Amino acid sequence: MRNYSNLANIFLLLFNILKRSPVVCILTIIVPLISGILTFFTFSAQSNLINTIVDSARLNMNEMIRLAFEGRMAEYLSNSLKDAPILRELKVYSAFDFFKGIWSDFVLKHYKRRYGVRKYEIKVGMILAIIQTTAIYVILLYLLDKMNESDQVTVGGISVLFLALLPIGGQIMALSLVQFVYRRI
Amino acid sequence: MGGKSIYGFSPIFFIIEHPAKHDLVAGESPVTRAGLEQNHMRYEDYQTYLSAEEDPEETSTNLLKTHPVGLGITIEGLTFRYPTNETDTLKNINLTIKPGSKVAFVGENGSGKSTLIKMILGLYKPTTGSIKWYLDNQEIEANQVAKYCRVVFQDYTRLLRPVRENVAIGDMTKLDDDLALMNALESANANDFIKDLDSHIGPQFGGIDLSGGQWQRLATGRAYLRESLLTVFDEPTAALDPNSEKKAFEMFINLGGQQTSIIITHRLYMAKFVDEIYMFRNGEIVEHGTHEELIRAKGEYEKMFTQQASLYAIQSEVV
Repeated sequence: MRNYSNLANIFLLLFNILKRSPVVCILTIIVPLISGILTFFTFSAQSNLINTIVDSARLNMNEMIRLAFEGRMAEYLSNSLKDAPILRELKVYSAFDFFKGIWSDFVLKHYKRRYGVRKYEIKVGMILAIIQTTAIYVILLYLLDKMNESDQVTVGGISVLFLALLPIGGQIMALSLVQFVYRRI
Repeated sequence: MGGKSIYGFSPIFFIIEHPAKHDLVAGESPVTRAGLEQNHMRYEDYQTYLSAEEDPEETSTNLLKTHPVGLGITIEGLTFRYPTNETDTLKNINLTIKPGSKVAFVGENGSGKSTLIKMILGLYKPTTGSIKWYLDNQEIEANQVAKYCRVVFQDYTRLLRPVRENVAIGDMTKLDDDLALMNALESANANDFIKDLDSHIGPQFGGIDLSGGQWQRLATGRAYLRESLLTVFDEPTAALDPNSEKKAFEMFINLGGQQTSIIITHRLYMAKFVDEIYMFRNGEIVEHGTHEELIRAKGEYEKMFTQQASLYAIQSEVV
């Protein structure tokens, strides 16, 4: 009896599976492997792509300077309108509401801008999540179709189903969470 | 509490005005009593000020035509104590200010002059006694008084905002009326350093820097912008040099016109030009009358006046 190492046993097992059921083997091993390799090596490219999309909705330098000015002014007004002598004089002249209005306009604009960017980020995230989920569904349907054609349930087939359902479940949860957060905002 | 508010870190006025509408974001503290006190402000004062209604549209631009004489004021047995104090700031004040008269409140620091001015402006209510305002012999409500008044406080407002807004504080309906704003600045001798109404004030916001005297003229400009039946000068010249002070006083005399005017001053030589002088000490009126009457009475006023006159004489000798 030949004595093989564990690693050799694994390769032997894989070879046997490939020989008996090439489709299942490709779906269970080769596709995830290629997907994993692609994900690993293209991570920075994907990250840059997402950042570029999101950054296009972000602020340019002039806008940032303007927002910084408005932020400082809002803080200054917030403090000034609590100062007794200022408040006293503004009330005598009926001018308090005017400056309170300026302050609240700054705050309103700031919040709108901030949530606008966040909403855009969430939208992009949702689209990417939908693409991922759709891809998994396609693979799952293809697999079920093949199992139906072969008219037999194999261990490999069940494993693939199980593996495919796990991320789908995760995606459904993630999507629900994103939609929940999006609605709240 | 309701939904998430855009005014998440709002100062207390939003909470006071609309307690149900404005929520606070977690981690951002609301303005508390302690927070206000850090700004040297009493919580009660804050509420009192905020309770005063505002309607800039009500500020009449034809007040002087319809009421040429001015506001009359009668104060009887007035006592006032700040909520956190244990002693009365004002005690048994009785005085009558006739419509169109010019009155000076004089006395040492902390003698209650400025507090009485705040009460005359309707900002505080008396603890006991009464204060009544008359317009054409008709009594008017305390919450209506402010719209007939203009005031230059000692600690006048210096907002680091555009010149236009700083002047228009006097009458917000004239915010876009360049001519009226420039006329007001010209009357207050502020047109020499203010060329553009839209210039921002405050180097920290990329704007221009103003000296104490320039700010004082700007604050007087906002008083000029507003037509009023009562003009109050709450010692706004304290930080000015004697020359600027003299000009500011002349400005006050012009500003008051035929209307009722009250000035608070430590400089007794200024009080010579008013119709009646009230001398304050420890929250009480100790003497009152014209300058000549008070000099003849040889009381506290005469003593202070002589002291100041000798000081001025020494200063002029030195100069």
